[in-house]
Amino acid sequence: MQDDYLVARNPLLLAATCAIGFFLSAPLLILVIESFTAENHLGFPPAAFGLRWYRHIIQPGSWLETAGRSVLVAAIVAPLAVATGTMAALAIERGPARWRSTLYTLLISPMILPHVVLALGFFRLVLMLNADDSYAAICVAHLIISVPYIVITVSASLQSLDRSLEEAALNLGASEWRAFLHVILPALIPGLVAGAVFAFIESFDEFIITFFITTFRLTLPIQIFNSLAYQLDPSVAAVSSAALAMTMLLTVCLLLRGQLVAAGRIVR
Amino acid sequence: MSSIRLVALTKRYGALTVVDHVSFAGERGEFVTLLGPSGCGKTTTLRMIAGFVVPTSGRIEIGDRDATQVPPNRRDVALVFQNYALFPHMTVSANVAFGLRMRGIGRDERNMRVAQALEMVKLRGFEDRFPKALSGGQQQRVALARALVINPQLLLLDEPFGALDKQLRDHMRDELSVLQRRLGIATVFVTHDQQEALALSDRVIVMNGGRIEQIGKPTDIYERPRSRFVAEFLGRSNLIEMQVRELRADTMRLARGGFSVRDAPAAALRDGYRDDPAGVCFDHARPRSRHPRRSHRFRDIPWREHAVARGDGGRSGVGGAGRTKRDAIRFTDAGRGGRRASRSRRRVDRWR
Repeated sequence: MQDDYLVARNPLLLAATCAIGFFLSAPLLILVIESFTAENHLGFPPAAFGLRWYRHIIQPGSWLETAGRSVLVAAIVAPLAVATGTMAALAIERGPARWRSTLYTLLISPMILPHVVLALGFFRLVLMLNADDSYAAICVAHLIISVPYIVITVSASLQSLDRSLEEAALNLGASEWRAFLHVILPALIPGLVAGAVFAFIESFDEFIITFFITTFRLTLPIQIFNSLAYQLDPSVAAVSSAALAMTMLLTVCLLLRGQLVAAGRIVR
Repeated sequence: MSSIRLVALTKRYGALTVVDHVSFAGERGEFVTLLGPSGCGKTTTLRMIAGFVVPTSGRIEIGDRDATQVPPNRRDVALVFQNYALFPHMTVSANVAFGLRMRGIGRDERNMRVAQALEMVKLRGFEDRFPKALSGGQQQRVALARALVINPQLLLLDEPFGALDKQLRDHMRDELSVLQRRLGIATVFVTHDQQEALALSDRVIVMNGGRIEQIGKPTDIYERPRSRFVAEFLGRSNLIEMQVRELRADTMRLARGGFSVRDAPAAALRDGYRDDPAGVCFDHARPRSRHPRRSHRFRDIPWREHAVARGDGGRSGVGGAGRTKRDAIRFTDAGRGGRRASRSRRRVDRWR
């Protein structure tokens, strides 16, 4: 029942919730509105509206190259992160108990460590390996920071997975590998999909490390930053809004899928 | 030929001994029940038979072959889990077919055997349902079909009725019993429910604290419990705390009701109750008096050798032979004894 929500009953709480909601969405709203400007400069509110800057960003030589590169890197990183993260989570959950917390902390540390520090370290390493400004370096960097998301979602799924399912598979004659393939993996799929989406977004969005290790192979966040610094035109707003739309689309897909899974959920 | 044999099977976790030298054998077609309170080691024993727990010492033989070191997927045993452990993403028929698929059995034979198994548990027409669309009883039948379809040497049942309501539980119990007898498959059943154990089993193994307390037919276990623990664990019984007035070589006299035990072998009396924590059980104790209502006194209960109980780890208050000492007497109320027992209960009330 709607009336039962604490928020609805307490005006102060309601006001605070609305305020937080406003501050969270206002920057995005302003950006999106500005992206539809027909003028030559960014300004709020725009005097005239149009799709002029959206047409501009899909022209070759402006944004497409970096956007494509960002999508490509994210599309390489996401499945790699899912594969390595899943294996790591399995090792953590099924391996010797005394390594568990150490391994877990180590693997999710890129989420906790300041990215600037990570970036600096990575920058030195990449220079030593003569690998700066390479796809490999960008992908590895993104992999390191997206694996934690997979490790977290998959080990949560593994923990909630009934161990007796695995035992039932073994009992019925399945080898450990087939038990994993036929019984554990299907149960992990929702967690893996969620993790893959997180990893994709994380890679697509990554700024600091990529900024340190690239010179010419720019990714989208870096080009957005550069264009703000050197030439302020509304195409930035348009490209950011497009990225925002893509991210939201992915998230909505994820939520829908979550609901579908929940609707089809089976007794555990 | 025995289908299952355990020899001094032991499991320790550090200093804790969970299963302590458990030995028994189950013949082909026999229904053996491991009965005991939670934490008595029965489930650990079952999991060792299934291969999920590695024994600290001892041997497991399945179908006269040493299986102690055999991994769980190579043992020819099928386990019905307490929560059924049906694969949630597979249909009923895929669940039942799983074991056959893992054994590389071709599709035609697989389909035929799955159909037979579902027929057997009366689940034809449910092939394409998912487990969550089934009731508890139906889920259990699927679990049973999934276990039986692979024709195992041994069927293991881990408290399979725990999640069902009373009525369904009785129904499933009867069905399982009929099915088990028809297939003639050796079965090891784990439960803490005395009624289930007594109703289903050819043999009951009562466990406590990781050890076997008593092995026997249900009637033996019930009517001739060898220890106070077994007597107390096996359902309703009348345990009466008694003070021993007098202990002679072959007779003891009890304070309440003023009855005595005569013709007892001295050693039996001594072992039975001079050992500090003792329980003495009188099997089918019969009052001498023809008119128990008129006279509520029991006198001269005839001694039976098997009625002497071993010590059960409890503590009794006063020590020393021949001294007053608290003890326990049990009147069984099995079978024909039922009426008698209820009368003795009434009598007990009057004593108080």
